Amino acid sequence: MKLLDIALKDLLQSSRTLSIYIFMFVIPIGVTLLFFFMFGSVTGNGDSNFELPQTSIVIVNLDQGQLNDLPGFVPPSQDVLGLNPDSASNMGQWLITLLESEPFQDLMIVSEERSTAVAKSMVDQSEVDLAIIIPENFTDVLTQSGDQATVEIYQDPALTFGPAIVESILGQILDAFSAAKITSLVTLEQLATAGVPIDGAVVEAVINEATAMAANRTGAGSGAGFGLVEIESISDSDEPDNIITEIVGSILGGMMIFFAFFTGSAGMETILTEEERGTLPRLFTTPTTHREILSGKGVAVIVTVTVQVAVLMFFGRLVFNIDWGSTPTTLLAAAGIIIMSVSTGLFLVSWLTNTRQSGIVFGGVLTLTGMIGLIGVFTAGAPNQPEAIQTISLLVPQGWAIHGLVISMDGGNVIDLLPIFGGLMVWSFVFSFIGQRRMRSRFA
Amino acid sequence: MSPSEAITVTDLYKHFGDTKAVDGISFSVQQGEIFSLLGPNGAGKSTAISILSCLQQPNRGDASIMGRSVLQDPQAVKSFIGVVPQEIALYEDLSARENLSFWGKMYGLRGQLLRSRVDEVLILIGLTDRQKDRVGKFSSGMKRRLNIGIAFLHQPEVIIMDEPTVGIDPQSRRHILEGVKSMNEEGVTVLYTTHYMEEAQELSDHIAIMDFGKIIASGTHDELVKLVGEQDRIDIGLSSPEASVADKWGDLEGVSQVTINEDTVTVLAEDSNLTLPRLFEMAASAGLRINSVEIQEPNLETVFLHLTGRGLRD
Repeated sequence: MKLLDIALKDLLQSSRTLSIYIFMFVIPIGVTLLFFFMFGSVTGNGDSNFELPQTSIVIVNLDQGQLNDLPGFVPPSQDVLGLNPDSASNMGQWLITLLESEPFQDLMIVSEERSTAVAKSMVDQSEVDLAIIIPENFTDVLTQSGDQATVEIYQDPALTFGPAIVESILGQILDAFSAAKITSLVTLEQLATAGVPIDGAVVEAVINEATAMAANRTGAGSGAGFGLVEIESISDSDEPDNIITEIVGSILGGMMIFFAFFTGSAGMETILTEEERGTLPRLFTTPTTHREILSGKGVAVIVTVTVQVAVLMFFGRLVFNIDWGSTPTTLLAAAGIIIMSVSTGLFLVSWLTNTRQSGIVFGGVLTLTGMIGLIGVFTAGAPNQPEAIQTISLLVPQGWAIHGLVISMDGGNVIDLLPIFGGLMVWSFVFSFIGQRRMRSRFA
Repeated sequence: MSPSEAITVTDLYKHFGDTKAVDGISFSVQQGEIFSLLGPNGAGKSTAISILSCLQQPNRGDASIMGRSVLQDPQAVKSFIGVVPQEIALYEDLSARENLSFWGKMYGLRGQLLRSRVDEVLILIGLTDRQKDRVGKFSSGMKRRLNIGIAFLHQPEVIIMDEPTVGIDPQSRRHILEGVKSMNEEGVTVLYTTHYMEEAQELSDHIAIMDFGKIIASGTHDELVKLVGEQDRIDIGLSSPEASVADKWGDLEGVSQVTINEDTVTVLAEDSNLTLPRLFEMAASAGLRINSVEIQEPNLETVFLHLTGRGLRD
């Protein structure tokens, strides 16, 4: 009962200060609106005029290879790639034709340039967003064994979102090319070893099959073109199944976790404030236990963080139609974030001796751990993220929190989420235990 | 411990590194009396109070309140006591009534009992008219009164007051002292710390004088004054007192102690009427100019000076 009395007292006090409204409403709504102005609305309600931002690209094709000169080369059939092989003399040209094709026309405006220097100069002068330099040995490397080719991407560093999409698409295409090459070579080698006579028909069949498999790997069905990014008409879909919604959802989720942890710590800072004002020592002279006092303060902060998270989730859904997951998994993921943020606050506060230290410590520790934990969000645009990024993020509680949220957003169920939630509870228990022990040692 | 003892302190020690804040003190307070710990700042009074309030644990020794040990049964001790901290410990964002209600709940009061006790305390501290105002808008004196009112919300057996009159105007101080007397008349035991000799003298049934963590004397006011005999205290303001003055004046018959503090020489003498003319003569022959003379009857200040060679406010 005293626990609730303390929580209510803290909330009553907070309600008479401006900061509580900033934490609970202004920050989450402000962040959502900020993203709205950055990316526009993706509400999917039929009234939306949202369009993906087009990225202007200049491509320099230095590829010297000639497909038709290759001995035994048989181009993949049109129904697999959706391209006319007659129009491409080498793989570089093929790549350009692919990027100019209809599926990508809404995403990028492609132009060609002969000189690398001119192309880069166009990026420097903001005439285009991105330059792609296809190397001389591009065709050779993709059609023969050995060696390595590097496709250079030169971009305006001030732009992140559009170039990131192009970079991701390019990475998938090149992966598909590489996969088709390796599959073909290995298959032909195995056939030769098995004594199967290799003729033009066999080579064509193998290349067609390998290319089809590579196309499928990128998510496209046979005959549907590469389909690397499926862009459905938003007005025809109830689901926010598009890349920008996923990225905005991921970033918004990361911001939500960052703010929740900061609010949790700032909220628990009232322990220090009360200590400095003498009310905490006075509380300890009443027949109220340490646990009741600290838990009561924790409950007040939980309420604050819960409102903040709920407001941000609500506005994220309202403005961007972000699917946070099913109700049970969303609640579980949010509960993990909230409990973790409050116990982190108690842990941090227990190491401080006064409120003058809190700004530096909260800022430093929460920014550093936040960046580690949310590294997957920051690198969301990068193709082929290494597994190590996921592992590194789990070194801090924020990493567990974002993992739980991602599982929920990816459609996972409660069972899928339980290991992460359990991990968060272990973190919370350890932090709360240490925090309570340290706070208790300050008073008899 | 006698059944009539409200507080018993036995051989209590509290050290902070090399600093002996409380250095082996023992005393007892009878139920229904006002007991003052008198001493200068840094004497160890507040540390002793912290231990009795269960805020700190002693390095050695024990203390009990109403028969319950502060070490073994702190929760029971806390239910018997009301603590008035030296610093004002209130929630300035809340009103006077909200503060009292919250602290009342912390002492276990609920419902109608809580409401009636809050009303009674508001009347007692004279803040009924301002009960809905936020404490942040109160004067220092009003905050002090509320600070004290919280301590007797739950009608404790013992009230522990740590220098409750520091930094307030004479009117509020008078209000507080009258309140302490009033509580005591209702049977509440009061443990009061102060470095104001006048307060200890006015309020206390028993006084313990503390210095450097030790109790250097204790007893009733009269018993303590007798420690210095019937000596008068003579404060003489000199233009430029020299150390040799203390030696020469100390040799005079009837003078027990001479101390110099800046421009003032303090002399403890059996009879100021006999001693003063001789002091004037010696000052004149030494070429010293006397700027002021003040004679005091024996009091606690004199006792402290006699015991330590220093004034209470040094």
